[in-house]
Amino acid sequence: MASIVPAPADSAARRHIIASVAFLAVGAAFAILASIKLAFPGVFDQAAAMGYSRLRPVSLNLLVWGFGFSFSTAVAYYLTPRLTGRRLWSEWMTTIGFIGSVALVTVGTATVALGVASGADLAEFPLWIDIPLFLLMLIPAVVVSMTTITRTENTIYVSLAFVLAAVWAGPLFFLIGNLPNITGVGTMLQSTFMVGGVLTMWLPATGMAAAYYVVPKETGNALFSRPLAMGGFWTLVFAGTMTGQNRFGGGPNPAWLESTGAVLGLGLLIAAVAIAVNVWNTFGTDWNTARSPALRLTAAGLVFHLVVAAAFALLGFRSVGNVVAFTTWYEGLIIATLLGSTVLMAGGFTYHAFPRLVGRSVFSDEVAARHARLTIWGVGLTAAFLMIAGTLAGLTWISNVTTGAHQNFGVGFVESMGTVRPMYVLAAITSIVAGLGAVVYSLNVYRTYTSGDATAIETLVTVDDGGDDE
Amino acid sequence: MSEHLAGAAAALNAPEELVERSARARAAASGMSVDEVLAAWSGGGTVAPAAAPEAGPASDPEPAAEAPVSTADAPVPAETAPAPAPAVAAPAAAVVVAAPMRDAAPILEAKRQSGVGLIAAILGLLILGAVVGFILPASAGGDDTHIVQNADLSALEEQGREVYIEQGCGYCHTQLVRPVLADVSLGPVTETNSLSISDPPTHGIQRIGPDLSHLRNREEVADAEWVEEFLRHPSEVREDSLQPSYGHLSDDDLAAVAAYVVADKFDLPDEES
Repeated sequence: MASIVPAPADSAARRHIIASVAFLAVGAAFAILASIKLAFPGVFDQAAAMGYSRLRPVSLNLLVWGFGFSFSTAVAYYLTPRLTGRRLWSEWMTTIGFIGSVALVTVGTATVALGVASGADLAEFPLWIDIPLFLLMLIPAVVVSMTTITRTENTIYVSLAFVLAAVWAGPLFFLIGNLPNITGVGTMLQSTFMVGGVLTMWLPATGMAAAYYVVPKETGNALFSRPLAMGGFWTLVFAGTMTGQNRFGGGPNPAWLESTGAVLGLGLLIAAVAIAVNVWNTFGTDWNTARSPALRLTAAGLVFHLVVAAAFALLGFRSVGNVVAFTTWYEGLIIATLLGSTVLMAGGFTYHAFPRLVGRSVFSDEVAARHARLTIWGVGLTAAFLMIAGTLAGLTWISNVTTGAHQNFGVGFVESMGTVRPMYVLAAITSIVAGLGAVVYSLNVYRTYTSGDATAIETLVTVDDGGDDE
Repeated sequence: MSEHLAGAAAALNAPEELVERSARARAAASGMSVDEVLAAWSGGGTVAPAAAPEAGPASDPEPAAEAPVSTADAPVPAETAPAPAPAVAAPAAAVVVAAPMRDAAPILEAKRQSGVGLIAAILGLLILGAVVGFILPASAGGDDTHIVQNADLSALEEQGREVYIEQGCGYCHTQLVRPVLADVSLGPVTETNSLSISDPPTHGIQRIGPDLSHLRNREEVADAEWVEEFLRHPSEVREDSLQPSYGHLSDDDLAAVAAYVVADKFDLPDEES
């Protein structure tokens, strides 16, 4: 099969990085349109495909199953050979997985844009897309696992542990979220399980895998503490799968499940603090001199993640959840995770790995810094405005009931939303800034590939093949 | 081997387990038996490393095993890959004692961590999360207070429900009333078997617009014709509304979705409807 599907070493990682950048650019563009449509519903209102209810799922599916999955797979395929001492267990499977997943996500998103949707958040793809896509999502899990089992290195570095968690978590969340014929409260629970798991476990695990590799490599310093890293790892894997239901606080979930989510939400924060402390100490005295784009973006991504994890933990408390549930508060968290922490950590990883894969140095460090600033400010402010809007809306609804001045429907509801609409407008404006960051990043990676200064290609010299990698 | 092992451990002042692992590694590198290595160490002697190729210590294969990636100043051709060193042809029972201890220190080889074990533990935790976060509560049915049957929808209302899902109305509207202060006056609390949380779901994810569970209860919007007109020209009917226009839908679909949103979705007792 290898002769039919040629796959030079590291080709899988290279392709998935390129795919992640492409999906991010397109997904971010749709996210900007959705944000504008939220604030100005009258814009493009004669086109069905330009409605908020189409633009939002299109952007999220591109960002999660397109960008997120490609990023996760790129990290897995880049780190695994380097941490195991051998080539990927099956390079030709990675090629098939790449082609298939890119095609299916693209077609699936197109069906969502055309209105062939199931109405379930992040599970809008039809079944004939879901089944093959799930099978293709298993390829990284199998390849990485088999490579790990047959490795030549005796120890398992922390990044490899995070990679293993990520490659298995992604397909599991996708499977649960798309199971058909679920009835009753199970329908709601499968949605919260999947969306929560994607945002609080799968994507953060991928980012942490990349961070724990990039920072020691770029700084030349040894990892500060392996026990701290593994402690954060097990906390994330344990807590990250059971906090999704915090999204619909007060809904017909079992009360014990809400209590579980509240406690385990703190686990997300613990995991985020663990990696932040670990990376901070790994930087050591090099923090102030860290100038490489990879280090800057990775560090920014970890700080972003720390804030997002705190917000997710806060959501678990009923006093918070009962106010902000069903407001744009959670929407702000989605934006902060997808376009904030994940994009920043993906950028850090890409700026480290991509030049080594293509033999070209980063096209412009200044452009990379600009990308970081645009993303931090654009995404940060967009998420903040949406969360402020959500808090205001929730408190207004409670106030309406308490004072009896308005009803939370009809004219009363419209008036309550009048207080938060300016926040939507501000979020739309800052989302353009965030989108510019994604565009700048994509262009910088593209220019790196086509016009970057020639530099050494990192060639795998593994023990099992004596260095012959073609 | 045990007598040599104990002697070597004593001579090196190191734990026997460590010494044994080191001896195995040294034996593999030098082409000698483990017993011979231990015998040499227990006698206070050393074991010469295996003879390397003419390129010298820089091409020693051991670093390659620990650092599989080599980054060169130029694309690395295959010939720079370190080759395994040939074994030294040593006498069967003799040991070459040449270099001082510091030149042939025991190799410390890390204990192999189980990849299968790690993967199994990860999968176990993920499955535990799925069981606790989804399977158990879904099968338990949530916290039931009392069961209210879903009302039967007419054919037009069923069509409207399909249009509602297809158009993604749930991204801005909920059909889920909670027992919390903010949802007081929206109507009866949504229960675990409500139609809105069945497959396909209409419970929605956020309220950019109001909750639509009990629209029928609200006099001002209980009229399907009013809803239809509102969906066509929302800003004309209700100024400042964030509702986008759905004038691009056919008259048939508009009538159906309007009928659905004002429909009696629950079989409520008379005093509650």
